[in-house]
Amino acid sequence: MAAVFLVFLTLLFVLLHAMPGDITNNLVGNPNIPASAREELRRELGLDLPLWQQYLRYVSNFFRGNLGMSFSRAPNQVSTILLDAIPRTVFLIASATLVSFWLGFKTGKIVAWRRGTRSEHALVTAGVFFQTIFYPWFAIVMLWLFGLILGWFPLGRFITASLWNDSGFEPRDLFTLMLVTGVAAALLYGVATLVIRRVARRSDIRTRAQRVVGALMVLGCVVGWWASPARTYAADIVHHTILPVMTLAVVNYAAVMLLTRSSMLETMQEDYVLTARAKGLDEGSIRDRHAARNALLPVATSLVLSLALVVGGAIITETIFSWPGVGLLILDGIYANDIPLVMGGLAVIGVLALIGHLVADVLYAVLDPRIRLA
Amino acid sequence: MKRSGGGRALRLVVLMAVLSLVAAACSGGGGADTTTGDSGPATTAGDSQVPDTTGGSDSAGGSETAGGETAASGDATYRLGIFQDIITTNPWADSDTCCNSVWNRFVLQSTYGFLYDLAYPGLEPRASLAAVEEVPQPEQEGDVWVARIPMKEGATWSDGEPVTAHDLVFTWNTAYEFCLTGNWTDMVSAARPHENCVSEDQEVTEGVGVISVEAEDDYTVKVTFNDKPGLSTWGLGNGVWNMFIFPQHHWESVVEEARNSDDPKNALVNASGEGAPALGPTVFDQHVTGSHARTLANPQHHETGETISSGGVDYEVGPFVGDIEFTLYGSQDAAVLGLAAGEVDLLLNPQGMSVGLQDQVADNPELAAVINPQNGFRYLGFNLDREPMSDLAFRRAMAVITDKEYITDNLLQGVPYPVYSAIPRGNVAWHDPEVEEEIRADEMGGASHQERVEEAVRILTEAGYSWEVEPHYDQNGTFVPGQTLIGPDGEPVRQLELLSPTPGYDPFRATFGQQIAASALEMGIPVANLPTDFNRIIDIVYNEVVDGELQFDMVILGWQLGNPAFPGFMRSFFGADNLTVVTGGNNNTGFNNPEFEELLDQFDAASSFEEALPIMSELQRIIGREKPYVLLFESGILEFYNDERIDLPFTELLGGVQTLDGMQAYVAVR
Repeated sequence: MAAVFLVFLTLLFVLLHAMPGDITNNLVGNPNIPASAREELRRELGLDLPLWQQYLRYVSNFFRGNLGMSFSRAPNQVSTILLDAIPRTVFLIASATLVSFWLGFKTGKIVAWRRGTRSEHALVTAGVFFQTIFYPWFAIVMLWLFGLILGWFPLGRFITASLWNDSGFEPRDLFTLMLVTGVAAALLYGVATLVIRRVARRSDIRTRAQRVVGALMVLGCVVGWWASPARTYAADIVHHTILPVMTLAVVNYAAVMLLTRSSMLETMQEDYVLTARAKGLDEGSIRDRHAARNALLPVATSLVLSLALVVGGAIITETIFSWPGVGLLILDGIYANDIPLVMGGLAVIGVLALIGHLVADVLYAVLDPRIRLA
Repeated sequence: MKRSGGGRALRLVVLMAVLSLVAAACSGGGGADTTTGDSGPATTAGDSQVPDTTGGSDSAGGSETAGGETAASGDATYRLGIFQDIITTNPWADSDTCCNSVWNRFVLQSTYGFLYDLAYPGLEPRASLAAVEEVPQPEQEGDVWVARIPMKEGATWSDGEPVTAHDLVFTWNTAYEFCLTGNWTDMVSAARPHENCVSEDQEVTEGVGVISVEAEDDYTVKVTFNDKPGLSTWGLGNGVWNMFIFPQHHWESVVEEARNSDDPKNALVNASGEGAPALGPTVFDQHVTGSHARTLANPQHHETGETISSGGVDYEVGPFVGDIEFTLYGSQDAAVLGLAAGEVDLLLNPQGMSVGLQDQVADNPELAAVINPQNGFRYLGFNLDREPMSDLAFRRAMAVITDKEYITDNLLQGVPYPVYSAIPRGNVAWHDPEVEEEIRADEMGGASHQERVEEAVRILTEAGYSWEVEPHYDQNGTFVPGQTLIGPDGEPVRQLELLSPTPGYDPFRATFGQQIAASALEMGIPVANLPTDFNRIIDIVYNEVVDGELQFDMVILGWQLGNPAFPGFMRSFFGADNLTVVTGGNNNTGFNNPEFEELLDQFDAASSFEEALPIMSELQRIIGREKPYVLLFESGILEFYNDERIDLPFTELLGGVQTLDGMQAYVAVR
C-alpha cells in the first residue's frame, strides 16, 4: 500500500509540475514588482532547484509530516490549511454520503421488488434524471430555490458570520467535536449491536432493541448538544449543512438507488430467494433478509470507495455553496499554481482512497461469509 | 410477520432532532451565554485595545475588545462580499511579495495610516497625518537633500497611544532592515538595499533614493535623500510620504525577537497581526478561516469629521458604521444571490463581476451595477529582436489592419472598448486626449476595411514590401485578399506566430487574437494565432531566452497599472534598464529608444505634476509612434452593490469602488 501511495505521489508531482509556469507568474502582472523580487521568491520557494531535487525534498518532507508552505497562502503551512478544511469536508461528505446511501438502498430494494409498477417507473426515471443532471446548474437552482426564493436555508457558507462574532467558539473546534460525537455514537451503537446479538436470541427482539438503541443514541446526541452552551452554533452549522448535503445527497442517492435496484434484480433470480418463498416466508423478510443482504455487497463497496472519491467530486458543491473544504482548496490551488497545496489536498484524497480500499476489502469479508471462510 | 413500529419511531426521533437543531439555529445567540459576562475591558497580547461595538463580550479569537465606543460611527454593519480568504493578518507581510494578496488589502488597508494619501476621485495628494497640506519639497543640505515633514499632534492609535514620528521611523527602518519587498520597495524608496539584503557576490548599484529617515522631534520626520528626488521617489503616491505607519510600542518586541531569530524576515512576516493598534478608520477584529473577517470602526481615527474635496466631489470622513464584515463566497453566482438576499451590501472582486450576472442585478430594484474604467489595458506586443517585427512599417501595418472598433462593437457586443494610448481614459489627471486622438488617426481608428487595406498596403509598399498578389479592392468593390508578403530583402515573410490567451481564460483577448490573425492572413501576412495557456505564455515571453532572444513573435497580454497618481509603468514596460533579455525586467519587446530613455529620466526627475505631465504625454506619443505595443482594448470593471442599504459618496472612479476597498471610511449604511 505504501508503494502504491509513493507511485501516486510521484505521479501527482510529475503531473503538477508539467503545468506551465509557476506561482511567480502572478507577479508578472504587477509593474511595481521588479524582476529581482520574482527571482528572489523562486529561490525562497525552492523553485530554482532542479526538478529531481524538488521531488526528493518534497517526498522526504512529506513522509516526515511536512507538506511545506503554501505558495498562494504563505506564510501558512499546507498541513495547517488542510487540517482546518478537512473537518468541514468530512462533515459535508459523510453526511451526504450516509444520507444518500441509506435512502438509496432503502428505496432501491423496494423499487426492485415492485418491478413493473408505476412507482418503479417514476423512481427510475427520477433516478436517471438526477444521475445525469448537470450538477453545477442543479446546485445553483437548489441554492436559488431554497436559499433565495423560499428562504429556508442560508445561501451557502458554513456559518452565519454575525452570529459567531464574539461567540467564544471556533467553528473548526465545533466541527471536529460534532464529528467526534457522531463517530463516538456510531461506535457505541456498534458495540451495543454486538452485545444485543449475543444476548437476544429472537431476531425481532434484536431488531427492536437495535432500533431503540439507535434512537437513544440520536436522542442522546441531540440532548447533549442542546444542553451545551454551543447549541446555537452547532445548530447554525447544521442549518448551513442541510442544503449542500441535500443537493449532494440527491445526486448520489440516484446512483445508489439505481445500483441497488439492479443488484436486487439479479439477486431476486437466485435459487435461495425461491427457496425462501417456498418456505412460506413473508415478502418483507424475503426482500430484507434474503435478497437485500446479498444485494448489499456491491452497494457497500461503492459506499466505502465513494467516501474517498466524493471529496474530489465535492469541489463543485464546495464552490457553489461557498463551503471552504478540501475541494475548494484544491481548485484555488490549481488556479494559483500552488503546487504544495494541490499536492497536499490530492494526497489526502489518495490516502482516503487507499483506506477506502482497505475498508472495502475488510467489509466484504464481514458481509460475505464465503469470502471470510475462503 | 408484522413490521415493527421501531423504524418509524427512529425516523421520528431523527426528524425531531434535526428540527430542534434548526429551531436552535433560528433562535439567535441566546445559547452561548457562558461567553459573556466577565469580559470587561479586555486587552490583547501586547496590551493594545480595540473598540467594542458589541456590548463587551469576550472574543476567543484573540482580538478582544476594550469597551470603547463607536464615536462618530453608527452601529450598523457594513457587509462586503469577497471571493478568497485573507492569508495573513500581519501588516508587514500584507505588502511583502511573500504574502501579498488583494483580499488582505481589502480587509487590512483601512487599518493603516500615512503621512499623505491620495484623494479620490481626483487623485490629488492630501495630508493625512502630515500637518501641512502641501508635500514639503526636499532641499539641498551639503551633499544630500532633506525633506522635513511636520506631523499632526493629537493623533492616536486605536489603543489611545499617541502617534509620533518615532513610529514612522521605526516602520521605515524595519521594512528596510528586514528586506521587505513588493509594495515596500516603493514605499521605502531606499537609495541602496540594506546590507542584510545583499549577498557577498552581489553587485549593488545606487539610485536616487532615501538614505535615512529620522525623527527630529516627536512630531517632525526628517527624510534624507542622496540626490534630488523626483516624483518617482517623493510624491504622488510614491515613497515615504505614502508609506504605511505601524505602532512601535506594539511591534518593537516582535521585531526584536525576529531580529534575533535564525530567519529574521520569516519570523517577522509570520507573526500574528491580531491585536495590533490601528491608525486608519478601522481596527482589525477577527478572522474565521473559510468564513469571514471583521473589522471594527476606529473611534480614535484622527481624520473623522474632516471633509475631502476631490474631483468635484465633497465627502466626509467617517467611519459611519459600527463594524465591517467581509463574507467569503465561493462563486460569483452564490455571491450575487447573497447580494439579492440582503446578506451583503457590496461585492469586491478585482476581476470585476461577470457581465452575465448583470441582468440578474438589473431585475432587482434594490441592487445597482456600476461600470468604471480599469486602470490597465490589453495590448498586442511585438518581439522587436525578430524580423519583421523589428520593422516599424510592419508594426504600423499590423496596427492599421486591426479594426478595434469592429471587434469590440460587433463581435464583443460593446462590452470592452478600444484604447489607443497607454494612460487609461479613466485616469483623468494623466490621460491626454490629444495624444490618444493622434494615435487613433495614425492607426486609422474608425476607418472602413477598404481604407485600412489601402493604408496598410501603402505603408508596407513604401517600406519595400511586395506581394505575389497584392491585397486590394477591385472595380466592383470586392476585396481581393493578398498572397505571400515578400519582405524588403526579396524573401517571403516567414510564418509568424501570435500567442493569445485561450477563450476560457479571456474570451476578449482570444477573439482579438483570432481576428488579428485573420486580418493579417487576408493581407498576405502569414500569422497563425495560437491560443495558449496563460502561464505558458508568461513562460515563453518572459523566461525562454535562447541566444539572447525571447522565443516569440507577437503576443496579446494585458497590464494592471498600479499607482494611478504616478504612472511609473513606462520605465517598467519600455525602459532599457528593464529589458527582459538583459535584466529579467518587464520590457520583453526589446524596445530601446534613446529619445524615450531621455524623457524617462526627465519624468523620474520631475518634481511636480505640472512638470511631469507634458513629459508623460510625449512618452505616450513615442509609444504610439514606435509601437512596441499596439494597445487594443479595456473592458471596464463591473461592480454590484445594494443601493437601498448603503450610501456611497461617489461611484465613478478609476478602478471602481474597490479601489478604495469599498469606501469603508466613507460609506453610510441605512
